[in-house]
Amino acid sequence: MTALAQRFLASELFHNYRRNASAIIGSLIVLFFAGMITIGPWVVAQDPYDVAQLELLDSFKPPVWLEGGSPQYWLGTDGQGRDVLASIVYGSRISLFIGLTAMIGSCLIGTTLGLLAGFYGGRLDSVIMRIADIQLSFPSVLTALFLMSAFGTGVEKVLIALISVGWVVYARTVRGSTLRETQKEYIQAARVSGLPNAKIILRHVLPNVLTPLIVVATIQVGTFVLIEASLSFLGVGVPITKPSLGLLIKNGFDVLFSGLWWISVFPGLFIMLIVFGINLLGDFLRDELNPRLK
Amino acid sequence: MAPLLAVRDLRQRFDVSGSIFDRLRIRNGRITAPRRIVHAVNGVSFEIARGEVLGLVGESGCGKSTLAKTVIKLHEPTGGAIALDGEDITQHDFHRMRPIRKKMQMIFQDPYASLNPRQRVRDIVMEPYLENAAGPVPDVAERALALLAKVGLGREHADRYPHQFSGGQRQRIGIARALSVEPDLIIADEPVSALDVSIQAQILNLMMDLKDEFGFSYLFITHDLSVVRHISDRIGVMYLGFMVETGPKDAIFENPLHPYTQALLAAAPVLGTPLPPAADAIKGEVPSALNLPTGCPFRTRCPLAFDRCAAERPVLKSQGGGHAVACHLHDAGVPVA
Amino acid sequence: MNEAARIPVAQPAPLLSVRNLRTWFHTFGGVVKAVDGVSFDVAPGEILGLVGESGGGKSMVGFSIMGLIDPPGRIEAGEIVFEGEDLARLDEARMRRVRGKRVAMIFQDPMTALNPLYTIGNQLEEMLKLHTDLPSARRRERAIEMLREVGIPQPESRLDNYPHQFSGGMRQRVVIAISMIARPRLLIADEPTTALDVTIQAQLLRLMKHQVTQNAASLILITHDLAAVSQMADRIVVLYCGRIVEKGRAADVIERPRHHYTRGLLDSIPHHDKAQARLRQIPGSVPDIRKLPPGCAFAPRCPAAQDICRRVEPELVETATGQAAACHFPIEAIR
Repeated sequence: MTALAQRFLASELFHNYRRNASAIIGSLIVLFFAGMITIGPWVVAQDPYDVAQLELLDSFKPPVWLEGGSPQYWLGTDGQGRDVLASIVYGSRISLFIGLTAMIGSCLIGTTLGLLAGFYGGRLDSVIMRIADIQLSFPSVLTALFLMSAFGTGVEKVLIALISVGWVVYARTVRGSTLRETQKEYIQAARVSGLPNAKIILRHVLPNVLTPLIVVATIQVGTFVLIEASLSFLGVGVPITKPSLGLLIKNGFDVLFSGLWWISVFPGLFIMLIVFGINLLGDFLRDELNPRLK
Repeated sequence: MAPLLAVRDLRQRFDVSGSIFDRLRIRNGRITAPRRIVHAVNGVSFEIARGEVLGLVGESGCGKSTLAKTVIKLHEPTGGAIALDGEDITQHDFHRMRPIRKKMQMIFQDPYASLNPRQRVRDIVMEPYLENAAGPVPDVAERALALLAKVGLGREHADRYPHQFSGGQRQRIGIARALSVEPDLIIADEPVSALDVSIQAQILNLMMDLKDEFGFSYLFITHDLSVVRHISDRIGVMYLGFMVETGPKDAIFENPLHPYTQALLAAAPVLGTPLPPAADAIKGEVPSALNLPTGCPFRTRCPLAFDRCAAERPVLKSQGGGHAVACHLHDAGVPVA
Repeated sequence: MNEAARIPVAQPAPLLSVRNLRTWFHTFGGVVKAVDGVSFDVAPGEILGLVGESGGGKSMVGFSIMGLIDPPGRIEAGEIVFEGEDLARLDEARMRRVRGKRVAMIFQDPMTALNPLYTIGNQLEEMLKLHTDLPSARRRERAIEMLREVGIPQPESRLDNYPHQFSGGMRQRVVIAISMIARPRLLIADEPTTALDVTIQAQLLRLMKHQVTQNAASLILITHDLAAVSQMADRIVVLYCGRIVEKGRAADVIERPRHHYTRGLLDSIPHHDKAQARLRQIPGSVPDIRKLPPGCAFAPRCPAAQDICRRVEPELVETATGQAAACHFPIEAIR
């Protein structure tokens, strides 16, 4: 393990990373959110979903630096007396859980379909790629919105909707790389060695098509957080009992113009921050990893 | 004794016309969908004896690589027959090919593309052996090291990845992989053409040493005349998917009969000799394998072509001493089966 | 023949004089000294062969002369004096007027040298428009004339064809036509025939030699193919790890190599006209150019290496016949 760490520290990737300010900022933001969703709930004062911990008297408190703010609630409270900061911590967990899970699901499904399409070609390839083309001709938010209005709200339904728009990009990337790799002689060598197709795909093709997916997967988490926020804001996303960052914005939206801006604006800022961080990191990875695709 | 490999009238065609939409043409007011067929190998026959090296030479597009890949069943042959050790493998499917893989292996051209960049060297060289082993192999590690030692690589190389090696070393790894199952026949497809001259010599010497040690045969594909002369016992000259001349190497080099072989030998640069005059050279370039010329495939470039060459396709005819040529100028011999 | 009698008394002023050229690449893994202190001359009308294996730096010499070194590469030091002007000091704008007009280059892959979107007529006439003041009517005539010279049949109609309508050998002929149409004084050909078949190779080498002789231009032929270079070149420069190990008249270098690397290269070519049991080989492989050993770069592979070779880098020493080798223990010709 230490040898691996040493190799990473000596690598060109790390060397360039240390000289790339936006990559460092991006990864710090991502790290901050990682910390927030893992240990955050033990740091914030309140569990916003435990009704017993809510004080209705403390409702609509402004942030601590404004008149009437209380040091107990740094970013203020909402109409039920929920701490906005605590809501953001819990909401980020839901948003990122959905983003990450949907990304992993899309990646698994898309990679499998891309490998099959690229390796076997023919009719299977045509069918898979035509479905992907149709999928791509609609904006993903629109497709997800349509699916959600058919399914109804719920975390697992959001996941299904996101995965059904998210697999396409993996399928296309993997198919392209698979076509390129299967032309190479090491695949022919594997055939000459007598390997069955399943082993050729898993042992030889798969490891060589994964690198470009790192970039796609990173940026997709950000995209999914945004789509989920849009769905929840429109009221077809997560249920009210599990408010994500998007739902928090919606909850505060009704009172936004009565001067109670903090309930919506802070969750909005956090969405912006996380997507910004993920994209900075993704851009760096794209620049670093793509030239090595040859 | 039966030859190790016997190839009879092997044909390989590829349909490159694509889908029906790519094929649609309007010709003379009629809608047609012509097919585009590449005639890569057109009825080639040859044999390789045990311990023998057959060199196949020819320019790019002459079908020599396709022929090699068809023999080892990377392509399914369109016609003809392939027999290894007396067993007809032409129609063998994946499962019936499995025991054959132990008898026939391949060395590839590109030292960079022929090794999986994500596999360790010890896993690369042992893959054919492990895939074809009857039961569990307790001594995998020792076997891998022994194989690497055979090709001049050490214990310290076993756990590295291909990108940590030079082109010549990678080609050694590819040779070790082919060697792992101790095959009877190794098909080598331009194994040294991607290497620097000084490394070429190392790899050629290694390949010859291994042959002497293990006694297998080579089907050696190359475009390089000096390499083919160095390594082969017998030589086959291919042009546009046809075998135009075959024979013992000295017969081919000292008494080439086919005008194409003569032109090829004249064009190859030789150290310290002046550039051959233009008069000796053949004109033009190889015609497309999509539209084979009628008659002799070489007649479009042949300085000696006459009427019969366009009308009738010459067949390989024996000239004695194992030397055979497909040319109407040498019509006297007995047709080779 | 008396050796001394063959040397002309007054050498003509060289067309190109490369002095102590250093082209280095600053990469993450260290400084790649692709060209490290290379000096040679090209006389007017001369064909110079630049030989070596991959990593020898031979292509980088060509790119340096053309001013085509991109970051992280840089010409660190040295002069490239061409017709009295130091190309290494020219800015890009003035370099552009040299390229194509006075010095032209041909690459290995004829496809990258031709723009697939324009007809070859366009591309030939474009060179004339850029580098001559021919009126447009004359340009087309000259383009046809040029195509005929390089052996393209029916040049009048082929002028309106696109590059993909030509075969590989014909494309390289078109490339030669484009590079020679502005009548440059120097042509640099970087592995011009490596991608082509042997029968086509001979045709093209002959064509290049003819073109160069006819226009009284000089040619730098960069190749790994010693046999081809021995047929073409008047003089040969052998590079190893970015440094010159040997230079001299072609016949001398091929028949009486003084450096052990040149000798090893020559010995490792299988002789096509005589069979031998085993090839003589150079042991080992080219070292990592970022971590060259001290002393002579070839010492680890050299059969004659002694202690001094691993410590002191040998200088190029010229003999009376004008053949020079960078070796502490050069091979003495047996006469």
